[in-house]
Amino acid sequence: METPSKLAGSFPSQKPPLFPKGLDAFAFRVQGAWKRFRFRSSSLLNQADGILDQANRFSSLSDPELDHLQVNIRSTFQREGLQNPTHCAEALALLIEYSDRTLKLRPHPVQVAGTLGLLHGYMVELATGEGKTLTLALAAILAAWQAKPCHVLTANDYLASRDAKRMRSLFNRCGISSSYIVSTTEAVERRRAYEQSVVYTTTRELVADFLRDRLTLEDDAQASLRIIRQMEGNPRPEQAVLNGLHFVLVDEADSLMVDEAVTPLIISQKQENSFLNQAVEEATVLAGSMKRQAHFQVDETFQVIDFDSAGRDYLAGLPVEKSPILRNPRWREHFLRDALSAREFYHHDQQYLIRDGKILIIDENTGRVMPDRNWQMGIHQAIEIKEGLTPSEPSQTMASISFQQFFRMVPKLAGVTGTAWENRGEFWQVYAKLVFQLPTHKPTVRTKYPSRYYSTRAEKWTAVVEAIRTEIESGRSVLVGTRTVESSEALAWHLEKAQLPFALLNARQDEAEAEIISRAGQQGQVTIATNMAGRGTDIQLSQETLAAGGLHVILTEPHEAKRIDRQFMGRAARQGDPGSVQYHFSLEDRVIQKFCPQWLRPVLKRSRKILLPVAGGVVRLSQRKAEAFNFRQRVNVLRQDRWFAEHL
Amino acid sequence: MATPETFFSDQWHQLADSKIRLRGDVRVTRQRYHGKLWFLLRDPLRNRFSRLRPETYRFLMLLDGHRTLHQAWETIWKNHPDSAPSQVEVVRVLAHLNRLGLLVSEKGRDPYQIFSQFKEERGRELKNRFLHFFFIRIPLWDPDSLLKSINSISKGIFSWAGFAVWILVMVWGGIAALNQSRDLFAQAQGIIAPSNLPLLYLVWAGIKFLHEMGHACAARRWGCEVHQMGVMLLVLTPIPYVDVTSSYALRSKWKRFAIDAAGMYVELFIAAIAALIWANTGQGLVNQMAYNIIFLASVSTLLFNLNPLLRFDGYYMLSDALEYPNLHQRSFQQIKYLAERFLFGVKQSIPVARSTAEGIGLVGFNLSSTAYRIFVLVVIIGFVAGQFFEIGLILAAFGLLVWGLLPLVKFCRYVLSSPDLARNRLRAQWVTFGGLAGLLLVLALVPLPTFYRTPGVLESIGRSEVIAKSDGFLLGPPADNRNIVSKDQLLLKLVQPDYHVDEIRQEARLREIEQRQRIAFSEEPAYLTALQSQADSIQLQLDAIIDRKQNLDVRAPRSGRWVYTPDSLHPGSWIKRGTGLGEIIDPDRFRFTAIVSQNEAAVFFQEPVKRTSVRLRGEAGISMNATDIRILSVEQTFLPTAALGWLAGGALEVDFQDTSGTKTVEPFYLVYIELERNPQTDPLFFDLRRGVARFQLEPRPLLQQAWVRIRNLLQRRYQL
Repeated sequence: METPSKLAGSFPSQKPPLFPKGLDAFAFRVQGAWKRFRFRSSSLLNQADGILDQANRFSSLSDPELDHLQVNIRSTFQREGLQNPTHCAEALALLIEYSDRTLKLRPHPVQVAGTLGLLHGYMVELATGEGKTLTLALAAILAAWQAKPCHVLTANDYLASRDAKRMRSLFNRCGISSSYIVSTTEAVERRRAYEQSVVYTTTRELVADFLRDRLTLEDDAQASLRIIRQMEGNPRPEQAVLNGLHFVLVDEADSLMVDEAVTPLIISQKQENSFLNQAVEEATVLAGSMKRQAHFQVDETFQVIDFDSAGRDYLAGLPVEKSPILRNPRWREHFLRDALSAREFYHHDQQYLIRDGKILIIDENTGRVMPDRNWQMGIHQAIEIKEGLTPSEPSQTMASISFQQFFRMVPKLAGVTGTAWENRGEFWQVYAKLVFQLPTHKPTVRTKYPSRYYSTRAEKWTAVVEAIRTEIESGRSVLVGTRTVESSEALAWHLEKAQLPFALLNARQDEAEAEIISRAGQQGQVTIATNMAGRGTDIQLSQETLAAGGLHVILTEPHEAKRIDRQFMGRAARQGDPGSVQYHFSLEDRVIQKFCPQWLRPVLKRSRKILLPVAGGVVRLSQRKAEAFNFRQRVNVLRQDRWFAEHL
Repeated sequence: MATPETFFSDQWHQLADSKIRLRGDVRVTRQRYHGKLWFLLRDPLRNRFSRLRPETYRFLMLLDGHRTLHQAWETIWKNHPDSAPSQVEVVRVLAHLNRLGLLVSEKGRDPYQIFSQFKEERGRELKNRFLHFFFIRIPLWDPDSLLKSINSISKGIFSWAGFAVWILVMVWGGIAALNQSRDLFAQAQGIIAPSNLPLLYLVWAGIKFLHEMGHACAARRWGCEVHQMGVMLLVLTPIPYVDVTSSYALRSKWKRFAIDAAGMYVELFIAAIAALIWANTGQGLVNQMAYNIIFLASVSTLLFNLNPLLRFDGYYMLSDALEYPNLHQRSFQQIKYLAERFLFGVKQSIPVARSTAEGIGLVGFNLSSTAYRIFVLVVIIGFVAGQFFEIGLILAAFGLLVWGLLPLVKFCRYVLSSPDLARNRLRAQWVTFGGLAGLLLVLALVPLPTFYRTPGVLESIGRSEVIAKSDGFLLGPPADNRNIVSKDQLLLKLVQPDYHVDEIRQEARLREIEQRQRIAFSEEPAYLTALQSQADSIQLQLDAIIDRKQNLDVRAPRSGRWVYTPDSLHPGSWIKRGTGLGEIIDPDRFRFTAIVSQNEAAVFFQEPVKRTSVRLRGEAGISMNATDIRILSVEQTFLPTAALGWLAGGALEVDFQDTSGTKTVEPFYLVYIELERNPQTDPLFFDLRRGVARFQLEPRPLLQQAWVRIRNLLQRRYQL
């Protein structure tokens, strides 16, 4: 499998190795643990100090002198590349000076060490608010100086355009062209944008273009065949958008490479399939008569509908009129199960929104609307029918790839994020990438208030409202994190009742995102946000707020991974600012309900109060289980890929 | 299933447009199992079979190389919605078939994939070979052309006429063997003599070759190709084998059955012929050979081949007769189902068996065949270990790895991470690990009675020897051996006519002296003293003779049991004075002398014996309690009787150089056990009767007991 590229065969992607199994997998894991054990981030920090010293020597040079030096350094660097540490250090030192002059930002040692880590293909954990954007930009410039395509991937469109714009002057100064691509970028513009040396974009866009190119080129993607065709004298028109794939630097690596790793990116065309819609429609109608407990049981953890024998008998007796699929008893059960799942597990404002007569899926981890995403065939239509919408035509997949598969094919991959250490095992097993942690540049002044636990959600809301009131009365601003759109609105309702002014940011209000965030640092400002605000958001604090003690972050519900909680907490006390954080969790929260260890369930159900003193432990246990569960799911996708590759 | 089966496959688009079809040379046959239709696909290149349901096959038939996969799928849903497969099912079936190399696509296959698949298959084969170390197959020869040329003969052999001849010969041979059944069994004693072994093996291999040829000919006779014949290393012993897998394709189960049975058919025929030869020849090589053949061709056939518990002919006959292909695998699946359903509570688990009776049969089959296989292995390993201890150890370790550790690891992995158990994992883990821990706990902590058994003999303590006090010929048989006699009861009679003559002579001499005394008294008184002393001496001689004459009737010196060695007392034989004739044994004063070998003494002497009992050989039902035991803590090397040694069939290893058969290889201790008597139930006590003493020690957990035993075994081997 090769990367589509206009330059035939220039930047072949690597064939991803088969996911190891059995003893191989074990040996591979041991290897990773050993490498992690051997790795010392201090050596990178020492190098960084050396480079900074070197950079100081450039500060006396005038701009033209510096530019003259650039020509030399750049050409040696391009020749020797990353293999030669002296040239690499020299080039980096020059960039530091440039950064200082153009952006008025002088990278500190931690950032330089991070850049070095990226260039060596590591996953760098840089504490939230340490300035990942600059770190990435430095690495991107050096990558681009090698005259190979470099893509910087960010978590969302907003961040892509923000970072690209912010760094543009530095790129220009270094003689590097840069661009950004967001979902709204038109095809012509897109093609031009990809021609630039450094391209800021989201994973979604890059992967989609990658797939689309492969579809248009078809077997032309194979360089050898393409050259033969050119020699035959009938080359195809160049339609590829991408300029090849070489360096890919990932911002918020854990979000893209872990949380969203298995979401398949699908290129599809709508296709009429009355056959399916008929079945789903009829199944939804039939399912209307079925009652929980009487005909089926619900397993919340695994999100499964179970039929008992009474339910099966009932199923068998249902009058099927139209759909041939439903006449087949096996598939009747299947489609009814889907219809019931749509009813029992998918709820308006929790898993999806309705906008313009369409179902929009809300991503569990980022809290954002995922416009092009569909649930699996059958379920999606069932939900549409449930909501009284016209069922969308099921799309026929033309090509699909998961982010995981994509990243495994990238020749030079590196990433940076605030939270990766928890997933170090996964990064190694899936991508063969080593994770290391860098210390913070300045000691953080983030105070963590003791976590509070409540037995019911109602108690939690009351307490949260009180906590917010205390903080804004002391002149600070407050950011409140909720997990779902629904709960963000519940809290909004409570605040309204308490007559506290607030701003609400959730998947419904995503147009106003930038504006809400820009105001969030004002004194006395209360912002309720879903996890949308959890990543990459830099809340600028006003002078008064800073004086009053900065931003206070309240998280009202645990996420499925501890990592995401930490990310959200990272909104407070950035880059040496003061700030504080506090957890307010209730035992009714979903993660606990869904993932709490089975042996604790009876206690949780009957006498929840007993658990309050150890609630912190319960939350941690539940999160651990959730993390493990999700990891297994991701690995299973890889196993399935392996199976498919081996068998077909 | 953790998540219910889905209908649409995520990978569908990768296949939807490809034009896939079955390879042209794949042979398809319809087959019925229990009245249900199946389609068998046979890959002629690799001689492998796949079984498909008719619905699946119907779909495969739509894949004709012109339709795309998606078109075919739509077609089948249009035409047969009741039984049409889902996308997921289609992908699974195609993956399975592709894996077996049965599919071709218009695109051709990725050569890299083909190679990697080939490599992987090689690796798997190697691994299988290693795991089936005890049954390695080495293919050597393709017998098909030979089989084709002798097909006319095969047709004769495997026909009704042939069968009639077979029965005739069987009956004839059987009668011949029965007529001389005494000899038949008598000769069996010598068959495993070491000198006989090489010949025995050669004959066996020859018979097995004919046996395999039987299978091959039968298969060819019914039109199946047979392409592989070779040597299987059955626990390192080479024996021939033949691959008649192609017979699966036969429609009639009885033909398949006949092919499975053909080996034994041939072998029994050979046995019958051999019986005829054996019965009609005299002693000699031919006779011996014929005898070996009877023995091997009948006994081994009935013990191994017919036994369905091992994977030999009997197993395949059973599975064909019951129309149950993969019987073993399916019986295992049934057990898995039972465990999942009832132990782990997986409601979605699907049973293999269609009825309760079938389920019981499957489970019974699996359990007994597993137990039997383990038993056979243990016996074989034990045998090898007896010959070559180290090799035995290696085999045992290997067996433990393959049949103990690997399944355990697999099982644990299944419990810990099988998606089938996803929703019941907690319970499954509890049941499994709780059960295992419980079992381990019981084994490691719960003290169970510990017994220590050792051989020994009864010895009487009160015994008086009966010695011949006169010379004489034994007159008639002595009093019945081992009978209780009272004091002075006549035991045996001797005759010695000389005593009579001597007595008369001495009496005459005495009378003569008397006369001479009288004369001397009156005429020569000076001689009187001399004559008197002469008379006294003659009187003494006479008394002695009378005494001996009386002692010709040997009487019991005391009451008790009269025991003698029959060989030494033949009527009419000459008994010298002073010879021991036998013993009178006090029937009430016996003790049991147990032999405790030096290696085991430590275990035994370490702690107090709680209870001791003795059972005598031949009367194992009666157990006698000990009233007192006394350990003679001096090392001994001579057994109280040769009966305990190897030479006489006892349990203790003795020095073969020593002809008495009592000198042991390893020193031992004697333990004297006084027995509690009970006239009602006691078995017959006689001197040197063999038995076993059982010492009951402090109860100890089983694991500890096993550990002590293993340590002792190793210690004995390596003097650690």
